[in-house]
Amino acid sequence: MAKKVLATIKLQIPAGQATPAPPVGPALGQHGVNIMEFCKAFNAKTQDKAGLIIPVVITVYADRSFTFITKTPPAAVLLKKAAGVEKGSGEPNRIKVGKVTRDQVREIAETKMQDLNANDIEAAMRMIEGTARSMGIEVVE
Amino acid sequence: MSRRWPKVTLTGPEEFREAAASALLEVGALGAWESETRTAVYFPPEISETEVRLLVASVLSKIGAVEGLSWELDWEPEQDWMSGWRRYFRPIALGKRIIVKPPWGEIPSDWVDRDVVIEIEPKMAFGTGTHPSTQLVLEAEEELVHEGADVLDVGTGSGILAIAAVHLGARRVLAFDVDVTAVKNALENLRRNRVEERVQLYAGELEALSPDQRFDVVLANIRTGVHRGLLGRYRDHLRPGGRVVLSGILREEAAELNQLLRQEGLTVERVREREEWAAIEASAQNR
Repeated sequence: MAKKVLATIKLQIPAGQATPAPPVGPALGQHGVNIMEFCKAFNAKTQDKAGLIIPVVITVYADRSFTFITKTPPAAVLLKKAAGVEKGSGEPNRIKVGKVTRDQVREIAETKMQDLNANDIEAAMRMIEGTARSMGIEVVE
Repeated sequence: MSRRWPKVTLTGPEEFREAAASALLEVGALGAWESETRTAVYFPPEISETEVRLLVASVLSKIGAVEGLSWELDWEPEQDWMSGWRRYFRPIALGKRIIVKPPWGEIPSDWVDRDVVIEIEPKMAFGTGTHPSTQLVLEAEEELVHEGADVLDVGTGSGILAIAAVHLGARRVLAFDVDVTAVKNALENLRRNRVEERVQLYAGELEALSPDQRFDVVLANIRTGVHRGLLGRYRDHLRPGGRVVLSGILREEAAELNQLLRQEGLTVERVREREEWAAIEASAQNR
């Protein structure tokens, strides 16, 4: 695997639902990547995350073979889903739009751990709680 | 009329673009494509221009980015994305006997004398045949893999080098890769070329191979950094007079590897070069 990188492509697409339509087609097609192969592999890897938008980084090598890594959805998206709210509060200090439990925060922190710059789960949870407060979502026991 | 996809291109600070893309994805956008300075957000073809403009305006005002971001709307026309990428792959002639081809594409009629035809469907695994590091090893194989030879393929990727070895007359080929996706792709390609019974394939490391296994030819198209730790093992798996071909090496890295090979008791026989890449052929003499 003499790998020299031809391109790095960053997309956000719904879990389990990649198709050759935009953005996948135009983004990968211009680099000669086997598009159906990407869609199959991405969908297989993300099928258990239905309903979430997944950031994905695709690395295309010089012979147009490729690999990709999926990242976790933004904490804000996971928090809204957990709290069952459509959007965050415009005035988070004054108007609360919803609640999440500590257990839900822990679950989100565990999901996000790979992408967070946190040493341990406690630190990751504090980051998630900070995001929750900034959106007007209360953390309850 | 063929379909076209509304495409909103956002320009401005990354954090604004990110927030706007996330918000648009929640209100019906299909997906986003981020580059250094721009983010393109695509909508379904059914959505009208007015609707898209309203959605973008309302999202930007909601996230407070009306000032910070500029945006424009145009349309991505439908194309044959499913198979358009195939035009990047066509049959390639290498050495005197070898053709590497995708499952599509006519072989030029004046290549009829070439009898080693390898068919590779380009997928995730490295080794589609278009890279100089692959081509240098294939050309080395044409000279080194004689009838009845035993061949080891270290980091097989798409399986291309193993398939070539069988077609060139190898008796036994052992191929492996640490990447399970690559091994699956290699198996597909072995079947496609009807050589799956002649190649033993496994997912794992070179260290998993029993030290008493000996080969006439060892092929390793991997990275220089990985080669450095494996030179002694290449030597130990060679029969007396056997050859190892190391590839995936940049030209400027070849001198250092040549010296390391000599320290391991191997003799550098030849260095093949193409573009910025080099492949080193070395032999084990007195074993």
